[in-house]
Amino acid sequence: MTAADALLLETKGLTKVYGRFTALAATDIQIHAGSIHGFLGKNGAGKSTLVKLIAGLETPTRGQILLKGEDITHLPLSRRRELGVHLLDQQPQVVADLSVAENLVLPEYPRKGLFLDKRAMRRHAKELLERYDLHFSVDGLAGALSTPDQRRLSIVRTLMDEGDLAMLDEPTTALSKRERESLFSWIRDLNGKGQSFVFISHFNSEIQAICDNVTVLRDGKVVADGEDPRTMSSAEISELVVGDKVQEFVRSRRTSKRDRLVVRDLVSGEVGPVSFTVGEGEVLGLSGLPGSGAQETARALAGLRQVQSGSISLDGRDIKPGRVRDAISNGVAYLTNDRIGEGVVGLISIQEMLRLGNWPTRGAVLDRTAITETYEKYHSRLQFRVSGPTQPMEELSGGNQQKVLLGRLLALHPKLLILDEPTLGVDVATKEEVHRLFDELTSDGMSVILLAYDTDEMVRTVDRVITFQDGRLSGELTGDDITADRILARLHHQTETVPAGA
Amino acid sequence: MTTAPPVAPQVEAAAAAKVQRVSVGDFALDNIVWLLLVAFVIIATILNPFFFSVANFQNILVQTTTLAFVAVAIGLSMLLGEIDLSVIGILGFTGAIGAVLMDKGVPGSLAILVVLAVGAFIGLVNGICVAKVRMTSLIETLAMGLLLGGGVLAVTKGRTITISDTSYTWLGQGQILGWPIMPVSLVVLFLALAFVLYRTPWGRKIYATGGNTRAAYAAGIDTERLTIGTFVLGGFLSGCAGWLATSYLSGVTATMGSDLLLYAVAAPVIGGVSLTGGRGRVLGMLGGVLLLTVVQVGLQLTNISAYYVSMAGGMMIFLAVAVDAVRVRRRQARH
Repeated sequence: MTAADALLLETKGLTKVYGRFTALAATDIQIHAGSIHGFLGKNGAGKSTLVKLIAGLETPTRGQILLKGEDITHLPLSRRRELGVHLLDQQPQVVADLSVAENLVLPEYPRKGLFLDKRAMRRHAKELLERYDLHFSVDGLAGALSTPDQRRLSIVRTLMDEGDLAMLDEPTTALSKRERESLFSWIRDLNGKGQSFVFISHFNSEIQAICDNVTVLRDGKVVADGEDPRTMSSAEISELVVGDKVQEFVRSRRTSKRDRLVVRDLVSGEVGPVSFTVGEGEVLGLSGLPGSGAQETARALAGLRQVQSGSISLDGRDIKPGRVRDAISNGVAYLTNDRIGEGVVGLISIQEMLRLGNWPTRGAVLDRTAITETYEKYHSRLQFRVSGPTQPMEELSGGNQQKVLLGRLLALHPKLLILDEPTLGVDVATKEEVHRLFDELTSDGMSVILLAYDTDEMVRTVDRVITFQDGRLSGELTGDDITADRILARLHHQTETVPAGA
Repeated sequence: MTTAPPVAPQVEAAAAAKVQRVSVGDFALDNIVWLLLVAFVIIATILNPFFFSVANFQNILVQTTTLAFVAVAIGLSMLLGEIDLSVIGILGFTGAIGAVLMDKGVPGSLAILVVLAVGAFIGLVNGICVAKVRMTSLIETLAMGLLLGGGVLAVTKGRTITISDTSYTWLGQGQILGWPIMPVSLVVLFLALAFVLYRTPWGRKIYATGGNTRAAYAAGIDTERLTIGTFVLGGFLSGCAGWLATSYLSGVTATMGSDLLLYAVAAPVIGGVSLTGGRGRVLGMLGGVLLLTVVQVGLQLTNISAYYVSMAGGMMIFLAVAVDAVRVRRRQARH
C-alpha cells in the first residue's frame, strides 16, 4: 500500500435517525489520503447528513468515525478542526466587514502583548494567499471580493492549519462556468500537493471533472462506494444516483402567438433602459454575468427592486413597478436564488410556507382545511421528502425547501413565473421533473422567465434567450441559434457581429 | 453479513427509545415555565399554607393582570423581532391622563376611551419611527418610555391623584359573587391573543415576518404596515394596562409601574418567546406572567425581606433564559 492509498477517514456503521426518519442508515465508507472524493445523491439522500456527522456538526445515532485509525466520533467540532477535518458550507463563510487578512487569521489574532500585531497578521495572510496561489490584496474587505474569490478565501481558511480533509458542500453554487473551471484547476493544484477533498455536487460533469473516487447515496444508504467517476458515463452516474434511468428533458421550442408581458424602457438603477416581451406560454431565458442586468431586471419585474422609469404590462394591464404586492396580485411570481435569506421562513410549518402571505380564510379566520388541501396537492405533485405538513421548514434539506418554495409559487396560480436559478441545489432527477413541470404549465398558457448559470440547462429548456451586458440588452437568440457557445459569446465582450434576431 | 437481519429491529428499537427520550426532554424544556410554576406553588404552599387558598389565588390573578397586558405588548413586538420598551411609559402616561381628565370632571367612560386611544396613538408613533424611519426599536422605545415617564411627572406635577369615578374603576375594583372582575380581562386577553396569533392571517404574518423579514416581504407581506400595526396594538394593550393599574389603585402616582418593566420583558422570554423573532407561544407568555407573579406573591407571604424578592425574581429570569439557551442549542444540534 503506497502512501497515497493510505486510509484517511473511515466510517463504521454510521447512522443518523431523526424521529421516525432515517437520514442515514448504517454507512461504511472509506476516504483515501490524497484523493478528491465525491459524494453524490439526490436531495435528502443523506450526503449533507454524512458530511455534517464527519465534521462534528451532528451527533450520530450510532456508529463510528475513524480519522487515520483514531476514533473521533465523540470529539467536538473544534477538536476535529484541529485534527484537520473541515466542512465548507454552501454559503461562503467570510466576515464581509472584516479585511481579507483578518478573515484569514480568525480567530487566532497574532498579538504583541495585549495589542493586535497588525504587521504579523498581514505577513501571515500574505504568506497564506501566496501558498495557495491567490492574488488579491489582504487589506481589502472580504465582502468586496467576487463570489468565487470569497469561496476561495473560505477554502483557504479551512486549509490554513494544514487541514487533512476539506469537505466542500456544493462549492460551485452561483459560480459561472468560467469561475467553476478556475476553481477546479486551483483545487486540482492543491490536490497535487497532497491535500484531500470531499466534494459534493449535483453536477455529474463536475464530479467527473474533479473526483477520482465517489460514494453514491440513495435514500440514506450507500449504493456505490469507491467507483472512479471518470470511467463512467454521465447517464450511468445519474442512474446510480436516481436508481433508475434519467431522461434528460428537452423542450420542443414553441413560438408564442400573443404577447403576455410587455416591458418598455425599464430603468432600474444602473440597468436599462430595457425593452422586451414574453409571449403566452413562452419560456424566455435571461442570461448575463452578475451585474449585467439580467437578475436586476428579473427582480424589478417582481417588484423587489426600485424602478425609476418605464412600464410593465401583463395581458394589457399596467403593473405599478417597485411593489411586490402589486406584482403578485397581478399574477407575477418570483422564485429567489437566495433560498435561505429571502425564501424560507425556517420556523414555520411546510403547509404554512406553501401559502405564505396568501393564507386562505373563512371570514377572518384561517381556513386550515384549505391550507392542508394545498399541502396535499403540491405534496403529491412535487414529492417533498418530509415527515408531514407540520414539519418546520428549517428541518428540510435544501432541495426539499426549494420544492416547497416552488409549490408556494404555483399555489399563487401565476400568469408569469420568474425563476431565478430554479434548480439550485436540486438533484438530477428533480431537476428534470421541475423542467417538465414548467413545460406542462406553459402548455396551459403560463409564461416563464428563466435565469440559470448553467447554460446547458438553459439551452434545453427555453424558447428564446435574451442576453445582457453592462446593463443593456446585448442580443437575442431563437430556435437553433440557442447554443451554450452563442449564449456565452454574448455575455463577454467578444460578441461576434450577428444582427439581433438572426 | 448473516447477522444483519436480527440486528436491524434492535437498531430500530434503540432508535425509537432514544427518540422517545428526546421528545420527553423537549416537552419538559418547552414547558419549563409551567413546571417551574407548579414547583413554586408547591414550595410556597409548604412554607405558608395560606398560599394555597382561594383568596390568595384571587390576589395572584389580580396582580397578574396588569403585568400580563404589558408583557403581551412586549411579547408581540418580540415575535416580530423588535422590542417595545415604552410599554411601562405608556401605562403610566395614559393612566395619568385619565386621572387628570376625571379630576377636571370628564366622565369616567369617556376617560377610558381617551386612555386607550392615547395608548394606541403612542404605539402608532413608535411603529412609524421603527418601520418607516427605520429607527432601532430598542433605542426608540427606550427613549419614548423615558419621555413618557417624564410626561407623567409633567401631567401630575408629582402629585398623587385619586380616582373615585366608579364608571372608570369598575374593572379594577368591581366584584361579582365575591370574585374580582379584573382577572376576566386576563382571560379575555389570552383568548383573544391565541385567536389572533394562531387563527388569523395577521397573526401568522407576525410569525413569518419575525422568522424571516426578507422572505415575508418577498412573499408580498407588507412588513412595514405589519410592524406599525403591531406597535399600535402594543400601545393599545399598554393603554389597557394603564386603565387597569389606575382603576385597581383608584389613583395615579408619579412612580407607578416603575419596577414593572424588567418583569414585563422577562415574562415572555421565560415563556419561550425568542428575542430574535418568529418563535413563541401564547401559553408560554401566560405561564411567564403567572410564574413571575407567583414568585413575587409567594416570597411576600413567606415574610422574606423585599430585597430578596427582587433577587429571587432575578434568579428566576436567569434560570429561564438559561433553559431557553439550552433549548435552542438542542434544536440546532438536531438540524
